[in-house]
Amino acid sequence: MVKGGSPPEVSLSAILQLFGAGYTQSHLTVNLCHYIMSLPKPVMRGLLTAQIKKHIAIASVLCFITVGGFKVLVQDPRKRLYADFYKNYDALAEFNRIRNLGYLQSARPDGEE
Amino acid sequence: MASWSSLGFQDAASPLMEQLIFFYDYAMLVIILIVTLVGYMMASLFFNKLTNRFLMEGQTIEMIWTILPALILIFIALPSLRLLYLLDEVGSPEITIKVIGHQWYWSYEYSDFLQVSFDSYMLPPNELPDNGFRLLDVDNRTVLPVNAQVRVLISAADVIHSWTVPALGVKADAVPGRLNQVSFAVNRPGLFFGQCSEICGANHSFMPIVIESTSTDAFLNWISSSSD
Repeated sequence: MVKGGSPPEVSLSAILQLFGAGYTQSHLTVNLCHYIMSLPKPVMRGLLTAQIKKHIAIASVLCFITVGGFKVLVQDPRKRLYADFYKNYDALAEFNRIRNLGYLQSARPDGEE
Repeated sequence: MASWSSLGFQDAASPLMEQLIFFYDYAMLVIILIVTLVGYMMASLFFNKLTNRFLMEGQTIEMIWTILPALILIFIALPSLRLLYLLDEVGSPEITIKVIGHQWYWSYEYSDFLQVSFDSYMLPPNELPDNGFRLLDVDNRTVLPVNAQVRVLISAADVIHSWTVPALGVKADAVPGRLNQVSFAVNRPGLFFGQCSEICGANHSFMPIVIESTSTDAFLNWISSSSD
């Protein structure tokens, strides 16, 4: 793209001489709208490999997040819950509490035959 | 016990059920990994711009999607087999009871020291107390001591039934002419419910199981009063 200034007027004969085409000169003047620039060469190969690498990276991060989330939010709390429940558990006290509520057939509440 | 809208397991009341729940969590971890990976691959197809009409084979991808699932299965199988063999262990039971399935009730025999046997029928709704559980309560509950290793020998008198208590992680078919053995220990006192788990006729849904877990003293008092 032209950055500032007016586009140059280049004669067709000058261009033909530059490329040594040997054509007969013409009186036409070509008004080029922009300079001839060299574009970067587009990537032609390895597209699938690049795509796979990108997707493997994204998939790994996603998997890490979901699996880590399940472990941290569900699995570990459940194990901790059971460990904490039984850490100071008094089975006899719990039995007496349930017995005194009158739910058991084999043992009646205190004061009841 | 199970109530309406219960989606997950009942709270474990035996060490084996705790291990089963933990293994379930571990397997769910692997499942979530696979679902995330496959789901992402499927979603990325919507945005794919690369095609190859002449694709014939891909040895590398074939190797990957053969070896990776095999590895995942090994990671699932190892703890699964550990638990499987753990469930089969019967380590020095302190008490043995016999369970016989009938159409449509269970009978229990305590033969270790005093000969105690009784039948256990579901309480019909018209006999259910106000605080009773419909279709789950029975007239004579199976009383067991807490923290004692229990062996249960299960059989049937007529057709195949199945004796199960989900909170204890126990299920075994009651097959006529066969004795199946399960072993468990109840961690905490309370009431634990189960239902017959093998179709056995018209009242298959109406022969529940109730385990009443009590202190050792209460159990001994109960069994001596029951044998009188």
